[in-house]
Amino acid sequence: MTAVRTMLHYLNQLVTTTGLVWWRCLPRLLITAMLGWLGYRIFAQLAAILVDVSAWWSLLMMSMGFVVRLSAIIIGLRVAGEELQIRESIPLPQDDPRDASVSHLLSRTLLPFLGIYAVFDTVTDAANKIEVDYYVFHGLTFERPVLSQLSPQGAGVGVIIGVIVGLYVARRLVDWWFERTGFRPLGLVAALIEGFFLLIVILSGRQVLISVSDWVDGRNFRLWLDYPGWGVRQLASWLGIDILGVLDRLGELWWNTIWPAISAMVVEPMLWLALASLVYGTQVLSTADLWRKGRPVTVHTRRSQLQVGDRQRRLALEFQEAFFGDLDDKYLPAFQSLRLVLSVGAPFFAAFILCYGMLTTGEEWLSRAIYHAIGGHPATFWAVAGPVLELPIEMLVQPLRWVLLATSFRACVALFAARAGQPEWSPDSLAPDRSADQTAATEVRS
Amino acid sequence: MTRRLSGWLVALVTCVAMVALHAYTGEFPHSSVQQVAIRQTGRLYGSTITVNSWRIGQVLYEDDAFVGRSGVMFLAVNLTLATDSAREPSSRWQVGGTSNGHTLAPREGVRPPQPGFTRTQDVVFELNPDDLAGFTLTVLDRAPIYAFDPELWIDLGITPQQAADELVRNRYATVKASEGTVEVIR
Repeated sequence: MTAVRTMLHYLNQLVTTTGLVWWRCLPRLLITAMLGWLGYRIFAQLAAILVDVSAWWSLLMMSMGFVVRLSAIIIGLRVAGEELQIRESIPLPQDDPRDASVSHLLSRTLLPFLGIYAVFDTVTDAANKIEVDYYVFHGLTFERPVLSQLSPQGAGVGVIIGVIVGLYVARRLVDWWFERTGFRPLGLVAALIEGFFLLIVILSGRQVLISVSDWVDGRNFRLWLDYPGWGVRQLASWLGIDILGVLDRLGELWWNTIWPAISAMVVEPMLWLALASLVYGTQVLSTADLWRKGRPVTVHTRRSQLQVGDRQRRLALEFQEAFFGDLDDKYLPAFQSLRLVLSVGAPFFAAFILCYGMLTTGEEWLSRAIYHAIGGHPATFWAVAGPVLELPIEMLVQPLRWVLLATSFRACVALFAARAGQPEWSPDSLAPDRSADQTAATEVRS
Repeated sequence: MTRRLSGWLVALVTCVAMVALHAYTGEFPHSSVQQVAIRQTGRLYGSTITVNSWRIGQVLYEDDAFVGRSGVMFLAVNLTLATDSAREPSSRWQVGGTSNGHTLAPREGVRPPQPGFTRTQDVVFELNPDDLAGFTLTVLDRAPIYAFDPELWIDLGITPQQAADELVRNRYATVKASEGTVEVIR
């Protein structure tokens, strides 16, 4: 019963704080959500129009749309974070040298963001939507390849690899230029190139995986893999069990019902919370730090303890910066953020999952209710009305999601600090009380 | 230790509840369903559908040609279809039946008549006698690409008592179904 009470207490605090902060920041959040939606829609429509010119242009527009959407998410999270004073509650030194500009955050969060979208097929859905829009307005045709030009079969493996390598080199050059000059628009250009690069990798990579799978299916050795299955089937038939039927039904239940639900209700909220923690900046460190300490460095580790050592190490560090910069910038922070989120305890985890799940379900039900109220219409109607109908749902749900993520992240940090020997933390301290927060932040820093 | 375990148990129960909620939400139809009773007219864009009557039997004739004898039974549903003169008819109707949680396919599909025409015809299902009560005819106008499409659910209004009486009377009867002839809407 204690666990249930604790969970309900966290739930109460998450809901009330989210509601409070959402109300206080509502105008800014609404404007951010609307601009994010508008920007994404404009680029998505441009992508659908430019398919006729070239699929590459279309993909560039799509990547711009994703960058705009991510920018809106970052700004929304920062607005909520400012209200909750998250920056002050993270144990960072006063002279934290990290660049907290939106362009820098974009470059840091674009990979996990598109990674999350790729995991949940949002990128593929967006590409499919471009094809659907094209077919709706130009008629269904198999003569004109739309985005299949981007597949290795369509464009040729050499072209795809050339574009990927070229974009990677271009991005590293722009990154290097940006670091030298500090000229902000270059950060945005780097983010755009990276978005384009990642979309090509995701869409082409998917085709490569399918090609590999098809190739394996066409080989003779593929039959060897079937022998154990046939043996099990024969054994089960002696026992009077239709093992294939049972496995088919179990597979259908898992892949059609259970796994999509686990992805949407458990995995997705955790990944979004990890992304939020990237935006707010947990004190995650580089591969150099890992090498130095021989283990992942946690939030307790002070930056002053992390000086670069002897000359050989410095050379090695320069090498790793050139070739493993992405690892430092993206993968490790994402991994550490996930560790932070998972380490705060089961009752909080349950409360967060419940809040996020209710929000996701509410969004789905609201969308269905609007569609039901309008009734059935042809595809051409939905191609025009669908994006417009998204707007009210987006403006209601997205700000709530951002604030929920900000509130949850702040609770994570506070719980983590409490475990690290800071004064006992209670869920009541979630509310954005400025004077208390200042004191807590000072205590954590000291 | 127990406290820690109970915490994770609460988290597990929450996750299972959310998974169940997601699965339940996923069961919502991806179409705009309009419920219609027998002898009421339902509309799918430019066409209308009215269920006039239904008959059961074990032997089936279609337009006086012997089709077969069912090991279970046939249900013939008589429909009147009409298409407005100004509207292009859909070519993608998906006709089916549901009863007791089972989904049934008709022996042959149904197409709307050409604009300005009406047609009265039968659509035949082969089904278990237990599925007669509560049988609902479904007609979905499915777009070639994903859209929130209109769908008619036409309840034949067969109660368990009616089904039992009809099975006593006509379980082994002969059903004469018709593919129908088109007429101009006057």
